[in-house]
Amino acid sequence: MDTITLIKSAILIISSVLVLLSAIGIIRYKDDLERVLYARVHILGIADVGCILALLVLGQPLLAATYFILAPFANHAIANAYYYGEETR
Amino acid sequence: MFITRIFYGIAYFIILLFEILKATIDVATRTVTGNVEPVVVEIHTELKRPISQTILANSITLTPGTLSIDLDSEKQIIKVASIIPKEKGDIIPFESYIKGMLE
Repeated sequence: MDTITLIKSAILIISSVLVLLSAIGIIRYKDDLERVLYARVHILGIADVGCILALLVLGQPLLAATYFILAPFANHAIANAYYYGEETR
Repeated sequence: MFITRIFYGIAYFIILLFEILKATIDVATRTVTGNVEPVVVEIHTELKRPISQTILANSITLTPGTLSIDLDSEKQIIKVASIIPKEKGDIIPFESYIKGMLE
């Protein structure tokens, strides 16, 4: 077992821990907290970082770069829709 | 002149990666301890070109813990949702690099 395999395994474990933490965070915060959707989107950002790390380690740098560029658009769309929907409610 | 812009671009990318790692650790610990207080703040940016404002908004969203909601291109105002109340310099530490890169 060489050093590169060890480093790759360590990064994969770290990214899986990040995804697990974001899953815990999603079900942890209930609706009684004010503006809880923003907190959920922030916590899902951790899962994005974990997925980018995992894709880099697994030998898919183009997929990782696409994820890196395209991930903010979805978050931005969710937050924008919630912000203006909240105003008219 | 062109070399300076490339240098600013590389520096911006390194700063962005460093900020993303730092914010990931911060938000992960906040997930465990439960110390969150989401707020929406408006920050005024110095950037004038729409492409640099878009890159700034994307960088804000890419950093966990901050999230850009809306961008007013003429008044140069970005609405940012942050996980805790933060200063402007902590939300956009890479603004001067984008300014050097594209303006």
